[in-house]
Amino acid sequence: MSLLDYLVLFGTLVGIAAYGIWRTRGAHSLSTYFKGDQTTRWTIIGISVMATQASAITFMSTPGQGYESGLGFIQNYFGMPLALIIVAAVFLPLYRRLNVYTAYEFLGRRFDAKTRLLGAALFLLQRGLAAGITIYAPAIVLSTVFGWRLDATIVLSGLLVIVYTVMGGSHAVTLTQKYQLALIFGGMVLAFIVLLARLPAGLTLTDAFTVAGGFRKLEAVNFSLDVHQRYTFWSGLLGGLFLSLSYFGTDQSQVQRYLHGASLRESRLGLMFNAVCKIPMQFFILLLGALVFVFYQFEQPPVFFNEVAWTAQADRAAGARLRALKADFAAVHTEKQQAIHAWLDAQHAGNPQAAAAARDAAVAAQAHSEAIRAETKSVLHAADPRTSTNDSDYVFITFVIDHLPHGVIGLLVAVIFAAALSSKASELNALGATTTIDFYRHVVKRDASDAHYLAASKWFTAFWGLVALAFALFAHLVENLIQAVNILGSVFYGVVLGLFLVAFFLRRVGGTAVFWAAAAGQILVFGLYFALNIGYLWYNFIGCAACVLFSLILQSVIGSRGAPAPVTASS
Amino acid sequence: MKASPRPPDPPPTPVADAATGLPWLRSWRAVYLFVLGCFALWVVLLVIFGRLFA
Repeated sequence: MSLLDYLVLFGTLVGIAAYGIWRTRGAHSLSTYFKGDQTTRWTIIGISVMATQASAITFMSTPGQGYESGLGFIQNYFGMPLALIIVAAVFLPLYRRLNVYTAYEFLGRRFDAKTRLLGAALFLLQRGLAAGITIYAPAIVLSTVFGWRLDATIVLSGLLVIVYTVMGGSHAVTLTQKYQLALIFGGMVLAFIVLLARLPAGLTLTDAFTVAGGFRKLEAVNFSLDVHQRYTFWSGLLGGLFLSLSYFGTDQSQVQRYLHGASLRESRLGLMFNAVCKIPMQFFILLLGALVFVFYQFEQPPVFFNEVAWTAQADRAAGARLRALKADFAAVHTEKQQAIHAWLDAQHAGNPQAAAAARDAAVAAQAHSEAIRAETKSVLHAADPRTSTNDSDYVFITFVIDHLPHGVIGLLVAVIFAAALSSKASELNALGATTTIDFYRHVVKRDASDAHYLAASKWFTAFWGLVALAFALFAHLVENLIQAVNILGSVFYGVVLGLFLVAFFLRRVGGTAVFWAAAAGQILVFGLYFALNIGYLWYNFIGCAACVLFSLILQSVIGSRGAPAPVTASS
Repeated sequence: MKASPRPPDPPPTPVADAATGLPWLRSWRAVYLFVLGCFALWVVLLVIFGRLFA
């Protein structure tokens, strides 16, 4: 990166953080610290919800997904519109009517104190660890690519977000997210325009789509009922509904965002904004990846996109084999390029038979290229088992560094950091709120002043920020860390959603029944996790179903002794 | 003639919450149907886009 890139990077990130601190300076109350001044309009709520969900990985991995697998990943978001409608129609009115700070307060009102603490504890455990990953994941990729020190990257970006989140609270998070998301969209649109400009002369957008379509990168919707296929319309609709309902309805990092709204109307419209815009947004990012794939059909791509890992092994024992594979890859690429040119020429000449034959040759060459890439990954992994063979996170950043002009590179690295900061800020704010409201104020110190709780909130937010930093710094000691945290999330998410579904839809179930049902459901999930070998996403469903089913059984056994307390705004 | 005592004000109704404030979608049911319609439209457009360049 050049001096101009560093100026753009630090100027935008520090500038946005400083603006957030300046705008939210002065006295706060506990309410404004965690819920803002509750004058926020739906546009800002929508942006804040979107920025919280879109982490740095979204902007590094999603184009990589588009590059490797095409648009099919978009089906993962098909359940989200319906989930957001359910949250807006059922969850949100109750949260607002009870004027809660956290989603778990609602569990306390609906059931009892122990159920509230159980829900809050499960959230703190899961989100506390995930907050470390939010910073670690982009830092490991960017430090590898640019040769930065990993610990310095983690500490600098971590401290920046801690400072403005602690000082400005939820209002600062929302304010900064507005500009961070503008930066993110601006940067991605700019990358898209530059990418189109860098396609070979004479290649139209229709030609680019033809090439992407010929390699099956534009197949977005798959109606297959085969459960072994990773992305289908049905798994996206059902699984996505389930996951989105958990995330938007019960995860405090999202609940806190939409509780900012000036009214129920503003919060609802903010959620509906996401329900309408999320799918086109993901389509755009995936399409960017598919077009990067087209770009690399005319430009020699690296055989392995984590070039630092490849270079490290190229000078060692496996070097001769790696260089031979690289030479084969380059030869196949030239052959493929010729086939693609013949394919497009035949297409322009109106000769479908010749176009089909040339396309088949290009597809065969692509399969050969993929086989060489797979062998390269095997050689790298055999030489150093710590090398991750998944290089899709490096596709977009490699394209940015190698092919975009200076200044734009700094802007797009700023985009990745802005995404990391915006989602981490929401997480820290939510962790601080849950610790203060559900544990400290509810269990430790019940009758202190507002100023006391405000000070405690700042300390707790800083504490979670430092925990996340420490976890990120030592994350490299744990193998497959991101997957480990995803597994951890899936193991807990289902039971938490089960608690809320019982609260909303099974009025006759009381606190004692649901508490023990959740505990039993969690034990069952742990047991199944160690006994079975199934995809971890299934534990979301199993945990939820177990919690709901056990609640009904236990309630029928307990009878009226565990009858629910009425939920009222004043209770 | 003395004015009769004014009846107590009714509890405030959350007018701003009940109304969507949108010109064409006046009820929340209409907003939710619009969102589902948009989802269906995205799916149809994605299918057409994929088939167009298959």
